[in-house]
Amino acid sequence: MSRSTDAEATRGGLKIVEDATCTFCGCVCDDIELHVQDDHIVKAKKACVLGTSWFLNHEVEDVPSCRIEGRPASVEEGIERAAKILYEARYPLIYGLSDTTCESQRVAVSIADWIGANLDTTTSVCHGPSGMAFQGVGEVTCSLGEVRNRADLIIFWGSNPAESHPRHFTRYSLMPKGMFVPGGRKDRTCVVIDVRKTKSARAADVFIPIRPRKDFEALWTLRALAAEIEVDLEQVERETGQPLVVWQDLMDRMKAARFGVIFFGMGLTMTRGKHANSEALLALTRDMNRHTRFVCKPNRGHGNVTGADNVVSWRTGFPFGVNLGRGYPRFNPGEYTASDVLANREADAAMIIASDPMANFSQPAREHLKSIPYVALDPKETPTTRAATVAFTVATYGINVAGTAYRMDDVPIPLRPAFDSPHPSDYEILRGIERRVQKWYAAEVRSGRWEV
Amino acid sequence: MMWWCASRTATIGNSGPVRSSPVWLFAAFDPLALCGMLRQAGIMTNETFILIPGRTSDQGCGISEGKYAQRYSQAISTVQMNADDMKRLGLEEGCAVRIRSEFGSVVLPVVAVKGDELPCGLLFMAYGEYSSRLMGGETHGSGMPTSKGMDVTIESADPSEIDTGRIS
Repeated sequence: MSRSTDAEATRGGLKIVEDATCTFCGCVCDDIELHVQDDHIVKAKKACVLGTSWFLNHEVEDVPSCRIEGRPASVEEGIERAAKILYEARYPLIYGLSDTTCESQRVAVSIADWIGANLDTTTSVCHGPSGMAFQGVGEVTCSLGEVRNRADLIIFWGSNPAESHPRHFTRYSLMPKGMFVPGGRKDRTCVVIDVRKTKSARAADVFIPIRPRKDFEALWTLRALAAEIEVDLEQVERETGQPLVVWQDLMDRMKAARFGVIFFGMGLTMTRGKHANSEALLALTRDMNRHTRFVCKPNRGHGNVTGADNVVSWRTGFPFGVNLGRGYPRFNPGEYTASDVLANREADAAMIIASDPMANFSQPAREHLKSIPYVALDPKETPTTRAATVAFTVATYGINVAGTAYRMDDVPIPLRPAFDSPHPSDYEILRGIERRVQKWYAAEVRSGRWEV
Repeated sequence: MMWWCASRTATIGNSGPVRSSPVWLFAAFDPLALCGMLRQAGIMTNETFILIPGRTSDQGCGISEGKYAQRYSQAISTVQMNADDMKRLGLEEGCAVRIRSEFGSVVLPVVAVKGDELPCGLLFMAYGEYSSRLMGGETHGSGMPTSKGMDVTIESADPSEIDTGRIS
């Protein structure tokens, strides 16, 4: 992987990397100034609390680049063993991908194609239900630049950017002075809808506390009000926890807005209703365009989870939960998604790239993952790398490795690394694995086992 | 949010209103002693709450510091509760509670949220190992296990049972 050097300079003995890109969250802020001393970053100007922690805590790990069954091994040995595990499996799973470059994601999809794997990304346990909803309803959307320059009504639904995307307010949504909102914050109205009064709610002009697990009912109440359909006062209050007058006030604000946007989070997708909640929100956004300009956007968590959606989509036609076992892609959330493939004890081998299902998946899924041979690639030690048959410590994308990451609004952004790592990038590991499985596959084709 | 508080009872287990219990006398002296007394007296909080796991700044920063570092471990191993609920149930700051879902259980210290951040009847904890233990494997055809809005029960537990620091 080549490193970009066009934005580097030296000041007071420190290397300065201008316009570095933070890949911690989906904001993918690309205006960070890094001060680098040898092999660690001592300052990250403009970075938020999460970005600062991201940059300042990714030093070179003094650990082996590869471990096989817990014992240090060479990277070549690790690649050989990893390729063998995946190639010999009957139902291999490749999962993760949201914290690596698009270039690595592309190679991972190729490996899945060669070996007929089940391919899934962390999207399935993030905005996967929204991905299903996009297919059913469509998405009226825009870039964050349009929000910055135009939006005068900003709604956050089931999302807490004050803690999950700390620069969202200042860089993209609430605070900036934009072309059509020259007054910045005072030209914008902010509404937060959530089951608890989050830190984001404190920044809002209007906070609407909603009953837990009743987002679907609240969204359909708003759809009814948008269409001026009469609704039952008592039922609305009983179901949503708020009287109709609160929802009518919100609808009046939405209709009066010049440019409205709804940012929605996992408060919708992880709770009762899941994709039905996202569908209702997308449909409400579509409905609102009969009255004014209205868009919506999921607030994405991991740095390049949007890139994973894009890469898997342009390589297979589907964004996540894709099975290539028959030689062509099939998409079926609930069957080919990693949580299901593991909890149903179907996968007999796995490769986990830049994610930690051993900490984040359900107990039955974790128990099954622990029982099968699997490969893990991660810059840090995690419960997933600890239990892996083959674990690679890899260089960190955006800090040691160049490449491309997609911001949450599908805008691709180049990465400008700060210093080299002695560890290989996951791109190099994945390319090594791909070359081996390609070679074995070609040998089988030549021997007549497979028809091309 | 009164709709939620009003539907709840102010009793614990089968032991009647907690405020009539003599164990309250210990509260002024030692909160952990109170937790122990609650257990010894067989007084268990055993009512349904809705658990909302989610992101926090500390949890996010902790990921970068390392999942075996102190900040992350601490961030994911505390459950937050409305102060009124804690008072009603006789729970003191730092008391151990067993949180039980249909699919698993964990024992964690409970702390009161500041101000009105969390309504009565809700619990909050940062995403991580412990919140995952309470999730089921079923995704209902979506690929996404129900990870927020889970029904859980809580009961007092012995501080020695706290799961903190046992990340696998």
